[in-house]
Amino acid sequence: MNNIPLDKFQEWMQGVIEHPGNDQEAWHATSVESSVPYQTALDNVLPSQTLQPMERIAIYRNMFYLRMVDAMEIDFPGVLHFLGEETFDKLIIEEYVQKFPSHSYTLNYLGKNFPRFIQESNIAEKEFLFELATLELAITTNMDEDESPVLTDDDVARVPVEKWEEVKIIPIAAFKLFEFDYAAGEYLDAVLEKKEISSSPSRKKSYVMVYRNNYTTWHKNLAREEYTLLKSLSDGTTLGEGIALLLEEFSDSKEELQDKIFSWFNSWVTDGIFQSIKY
Amino acid sequence: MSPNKWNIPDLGFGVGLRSVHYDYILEQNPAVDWFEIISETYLESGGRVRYVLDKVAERYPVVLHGVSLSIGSHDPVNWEYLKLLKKLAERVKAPYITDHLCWTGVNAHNVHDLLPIMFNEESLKHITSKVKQVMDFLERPFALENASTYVAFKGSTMSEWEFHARLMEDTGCGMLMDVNNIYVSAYNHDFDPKIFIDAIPPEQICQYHLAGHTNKGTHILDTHSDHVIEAVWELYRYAYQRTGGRATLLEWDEDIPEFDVVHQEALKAKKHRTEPNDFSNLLKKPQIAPTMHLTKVEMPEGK
Repeated sequence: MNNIPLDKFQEWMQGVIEHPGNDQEAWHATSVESSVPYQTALDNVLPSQTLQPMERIAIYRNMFYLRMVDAMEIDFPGVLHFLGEETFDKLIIEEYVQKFPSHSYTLNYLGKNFPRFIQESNIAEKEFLFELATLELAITTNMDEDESPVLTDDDVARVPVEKWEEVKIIPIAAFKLFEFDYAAGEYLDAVLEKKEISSSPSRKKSYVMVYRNNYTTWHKNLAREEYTLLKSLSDGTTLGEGIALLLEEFSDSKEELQDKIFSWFNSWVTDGIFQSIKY
Repeated sequence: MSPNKWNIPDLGFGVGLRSVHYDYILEQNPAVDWFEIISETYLESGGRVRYVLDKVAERYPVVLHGVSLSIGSHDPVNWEYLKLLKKLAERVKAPYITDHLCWTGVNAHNVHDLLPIMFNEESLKHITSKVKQVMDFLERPFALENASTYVAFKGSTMSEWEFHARLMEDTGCGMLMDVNNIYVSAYNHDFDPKIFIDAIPPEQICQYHLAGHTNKGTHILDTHSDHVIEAVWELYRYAYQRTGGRATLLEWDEDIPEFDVVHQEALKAKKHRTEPNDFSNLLKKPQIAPTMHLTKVEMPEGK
């Protein structure tokens, strides 16, 4: 039988390519054979002088495997490091892309469900891995956020002294803040800097900001105080309210806090994480 | 020599815009005639990717070359994708848009590969309808590239070149002739590449692609990972003699060397346009035999 309908033929070929098992398992899978039965499919694929039908289709299967794994390894170097290449690749092909196949025109978004997938899985240390994957996904997706104007020193200098307490400071679109239960940022730094990581991560509150500056995405670990103020500001509270919250939650004196805020603010403007000041 | 149907000017010798070369291109403004971009890389990208594209488009002609239109898929046209594509074409003032005669997935999946078409009447009818919809929507010249393939089907009732020719006749779309892909498929399916080239109306060809590939012994993979081999240059000369002035682009996507190496490889095409062609390398190529494309070949013993 040669007249396999177009839709059935394509469902069959896609099914074989995406199947996580070996060639025989893929061709014989119930879901695959429901599109085109094994023998009909085998008759339809011509051998070449050097390759049998199954070997020819395997070229596409292998390329699919490599593309999926490469895309995820690039976007999730921390999770890859933690799990090891063999476990990571197996997880991606046998489970992740089976549950979340690509529906996009680009592989850039293949990992968008990876944190959720980890959260719903039974992987060891999944709480830590969920946070690590969340951070890595944020770094990847931050590249495509809209461009914003960036606050300059002149913008800051124009704010009247008496208005500072009531200003609202607006972050750029490519800015994200995270509060984690594990040191996900430190782990990722160690992986990227190829430092030796001796033990499994233990529970430890950590705070990370992800931002884009000069067309490059960065992530920076923050102290809890700095995170608290940044969170207040990015939630739309005034600088005065943010400082009041800090004074309430932390034991610093007003003078100590002023020095810290001055230092943070310089750093934030240099990092380009704000786009405007409203007052 | 034959003008193309849409009077698209010969843009000269271009290279694919790749991220590893961004800094070099922005700093050096190399004397490249034009750039081809992978459309999907830029459809919704922000940040540096968008910035670089805008800078490049200010200085050079930019042509869009897609990999996810999936024109051969049984799925209907993806209008959301097409809207983004049209917007991008307008942004960079692309003179024309290209993609591949292939499918990349069905039932809304994308396996991110250029999957082979079963060349028969049902596929032709389906793809003809989709190409017409795409061309009506994009409102600028549109061409499909012949893809490298590694498998052939008994369910194909016509050759790849006949399919291309009929599709172009029925829709008025153009062809981006990838000479390396013709060579790769000729090797993998055991046909004479010149038959393919001869079957395509010269006026329908609006651009050429050239690339290197990887010979695995049992088959050739279209890896875009090396210099163009001499037999492919000979095919280029053979094809070019039929058409004359057509934009020519060098693709290099794996193990990408420095920009100048890629550019120099593209510029070799200039010399090949004027060189006489004796086709000696083509005739020497061991896997090319006059076996018909659709003939089921005898397998060697033990296979």
